[in-house]
Amino acid sequence: MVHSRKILSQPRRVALGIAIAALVLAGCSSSKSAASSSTSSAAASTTSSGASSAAAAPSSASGGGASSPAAPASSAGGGGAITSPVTLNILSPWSGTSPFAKPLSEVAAAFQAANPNVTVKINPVAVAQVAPVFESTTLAGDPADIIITNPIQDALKWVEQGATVPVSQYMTDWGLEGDLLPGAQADPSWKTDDGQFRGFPFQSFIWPTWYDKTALASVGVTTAPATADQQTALNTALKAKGSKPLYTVGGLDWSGENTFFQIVQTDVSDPDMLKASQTGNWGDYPGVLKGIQYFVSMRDAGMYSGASKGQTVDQMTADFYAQHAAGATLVSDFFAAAPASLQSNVILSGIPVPAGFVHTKPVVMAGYNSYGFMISKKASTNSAKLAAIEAFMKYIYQPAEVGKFVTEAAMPPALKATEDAATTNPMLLQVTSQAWLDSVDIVTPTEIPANVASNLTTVLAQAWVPGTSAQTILKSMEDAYKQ
Amino acid sequence: MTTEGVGRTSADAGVPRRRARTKRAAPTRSVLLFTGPALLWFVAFLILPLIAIFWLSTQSWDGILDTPHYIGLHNFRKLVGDTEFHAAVKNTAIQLAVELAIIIPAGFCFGYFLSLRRRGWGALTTIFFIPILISASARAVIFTGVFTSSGLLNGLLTKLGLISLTQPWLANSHTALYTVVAVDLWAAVGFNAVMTAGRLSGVSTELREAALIDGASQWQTMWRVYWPLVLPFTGVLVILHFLWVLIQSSQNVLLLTQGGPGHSSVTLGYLLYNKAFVTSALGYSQAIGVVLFGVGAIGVAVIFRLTKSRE
Repeated sequence: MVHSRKILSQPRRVALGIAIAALVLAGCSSSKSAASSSTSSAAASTTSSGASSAAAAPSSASGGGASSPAAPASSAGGGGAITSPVTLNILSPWSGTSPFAKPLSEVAAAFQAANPNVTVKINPVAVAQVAPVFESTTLAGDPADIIITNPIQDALKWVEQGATVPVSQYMTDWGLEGDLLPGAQADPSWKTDDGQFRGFPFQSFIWPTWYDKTALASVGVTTAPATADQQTALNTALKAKGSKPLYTVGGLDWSGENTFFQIVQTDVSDPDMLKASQTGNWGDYPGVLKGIQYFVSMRDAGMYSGASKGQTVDQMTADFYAQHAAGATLVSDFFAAAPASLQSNVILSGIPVPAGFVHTKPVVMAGYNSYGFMISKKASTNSAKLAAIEAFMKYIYQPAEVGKFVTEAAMPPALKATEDAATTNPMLLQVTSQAWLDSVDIVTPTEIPANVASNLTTVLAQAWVPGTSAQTILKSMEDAYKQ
Repeated sequence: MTTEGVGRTSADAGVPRRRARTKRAAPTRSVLLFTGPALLWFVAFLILPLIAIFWLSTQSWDGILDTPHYIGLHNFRKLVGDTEFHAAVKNTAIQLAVELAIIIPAGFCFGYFLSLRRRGWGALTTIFFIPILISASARAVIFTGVFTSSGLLNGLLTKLGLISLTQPWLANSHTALYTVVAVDLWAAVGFNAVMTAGRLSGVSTELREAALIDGASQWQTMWRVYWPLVLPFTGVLVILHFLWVLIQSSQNVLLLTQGGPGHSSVTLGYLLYNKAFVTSALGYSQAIGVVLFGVGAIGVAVIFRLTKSRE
C-alpha cells in the first residue's frame, strides 16, 4: 500500500483523474453516437424518397422490422377494430383560454365514449412549447402519439429527422384525402420534398386587418381604408384628434413578421413572393423593395403605436382589445378569442394598397399551413396505437366534429364538408361572405425554409425600429438565408 | 536489559516509522474516500459539460433532433460578422458598466448606514432584502406594470404634468435596455447593502469613534476608513454581480423586452438562450457560451487581481 501510494505521485493522480474523466466522456460519447446513428438511420429511411416513405405506410409495412411502422389493425374499421386498451397521447398547442381547447376536449370525450378501449390524454402546452416539448420527449423515447402543430419552422424537419412519419398512405387508406379542400391538398408546407403529407391538415387561416368601428367613427369614417391615400387620411385624422394610433402590432414576433409580409405583398405577385421566400433572393423581385419602402413609409408616418416595435402578439391583442389602437392585422385564430363586444364592432379588410401596385384591392393573406395533426414515428411502429390514431383521425375529420371547431372556435376549416358549418361569429361570417371576398385580394403565405424561419423573424424585428431603411431591411432579409 | 528488551528496542526502531506512514496514509485515504464522490460529481457535472460547451461550439447542430456536424471555427467566424452579436456585446458592456458603477458604491453606502444601527435599521434591512425573495417572473409582472405604455411610470409622469416624457419604456430603443438595468438595480442594491452591512458588523466600532473624535465626517469615515477595510469583500461582491449580470440577468431581458425593439436590449446571456432554445442553433449558441465563459473568466481574474493588489 505504502509503495503504491508513493507511485501515485501528484502528476499521476492528475493523470488518473483525467483518465476517469475521459472514460466518463467516452461513455457519454458512445451513447451519444448511438443516439446520433439512430437518428441518422431514421432520417435516411425517410429521406430516400418514395420507396422508403412507402415503407412507412401501412400497406407496405408487412415486412418491417422492429423500427418499421406497423400496419393499422383495420384500414376500414375505425373504432371497432380496437380490442385492447390503448392510450392516445396528444400534444396540443390549445391550452388555457384558447377557444380551440374546448372543442378538442369535447371531441376527445366523444371519441372515448365511442371507443371504450381508447383513453385520450391531451397534453396542452403553449404554442411556442410544442416543438421543444415534442423534440425533447422524442429524444427521451417517449413522444406524444399525435402532435397538433402547423407546418412551420422545426416541424418542417420532423419527417426528415425521423421524428414523425409521412401520412399520405394513411390518408389514402383511411379514406381521408378526399375530405381536404383543394388548397389544403396542394399546400406545399404540408408536403415533403417527395410530395408526401407531413400530417393531416385540419385548419385553414385568413389574416385580415381589423378596424375598430368606434375608432373610425370618432373621425367620421365608416368604412375600412382600401387605398394608401385613404389610410393616410385616416391616420392624419386620428392624429389630429390626438386619440389613438392607427395600428398596433407585435413587432417582436411572428405577428409583426406576417404583417410586414402582407405589406410587402401589396406589390408582389404570389408566384414571385413564393420564389423569393423560398430562395431568399428578395432583391431579384423589384416589387419586394417597393413593398418594403411602402412599409417604411407607413412606419415613419407613425401609423403604428409607439409600443408596436417592442411588443409581442399577446401585448398587441391586449392593446387592440383595450381599444388603444384603431386597427390591427390579426389572424383568424383570434376571431373567437376577441371580446364579444369587439367581435361585432370590427370591420375586417386588408392592407390598403398604393396606386400602381400589383394588387388593386386591400391585401389579405390566407392559406392552409395552419394547425393539423402529425404522427410520431414511435406511434407509427405500434399497431395498437396506429389503430387508435386511425380511429381518431376518422372521427375528428367527420363534419359534425370539425363543425364544433367552426362553431366554438370560429375556425376556418381545411375540409370540404364543413365549409358551411354553422357559426355565429361575426368575423368568421364576414370573411366567408362572397361580398367580402370580392372586396379584397387574397394572397398566399410565404414559404420560408425551416432553417431560415427563426433568423428571418429576428432580423424583421429590427424593421419596426424607426430609422431602419428599406435597403437595410432588404439586405437583412437576404443575409438571414446565408447564416 | 534482556534480549526481549533488545529485540523490542530493535523492533521499536521500525514500528514508529510504519506508524508514522500509517498516520500519514490514513488522512489521505479518508480524504479520498470522502471527497471522491464530490470530485466525481464535479467532473461529471461541471468539467465534462464545460468540455462539451467547447466541443459543441465547433459543431453545426440545428435542433436537438439533428445530428451535429463538425465545422471547426465556423461558428466563431460567423460571430464576427453577426450584427446581433455585436449589439449584444455592446449592450452587455453598457449593462455591466452601469450596474457595477451603481450597485457597488450604492450598496456600500446603504450597507454602511445599516451598520450604524440607527433607529429602524431592522425594518430597513428587511425592506432591502425583500427584492431577493421575489421570483423573476413576479418581478417581471410588477415592472411590466410599471413600464408599459399605460403603466405606473407614465401615469405618474402624466399626473406631474410631464406628459412629454411619457413613452413605452419597454418598447423604446433608447430606454428598453435601461429598464432591464433598472430592474437589476432594484434587486441588487438592497442585497449588496445587506451583505456589506454584515461584513461591516465585524469591524470594531472604535475605528469609527476614533475617526469621528479626530474630526472626520461620517462621509469621510465611510470612504476613507471603512471602504479600504472592506475592499477585498467588495471585490467578492463585484465578482458575484459581474457574473450575475453576464449570465443570469438574461431572464429579465427575456421576461421584459425579449431583446427588443430590434436588437436594442439583446445581451450575450439572452442571445445564448435565444439561439439555443428559440432558433435551435445549438452549435452557434455554444460559441456564444464560449465567449461568455472567456469574458467571465478574464473578468473574474482582473477583478480578483485588482482587489488583491489593494488588500
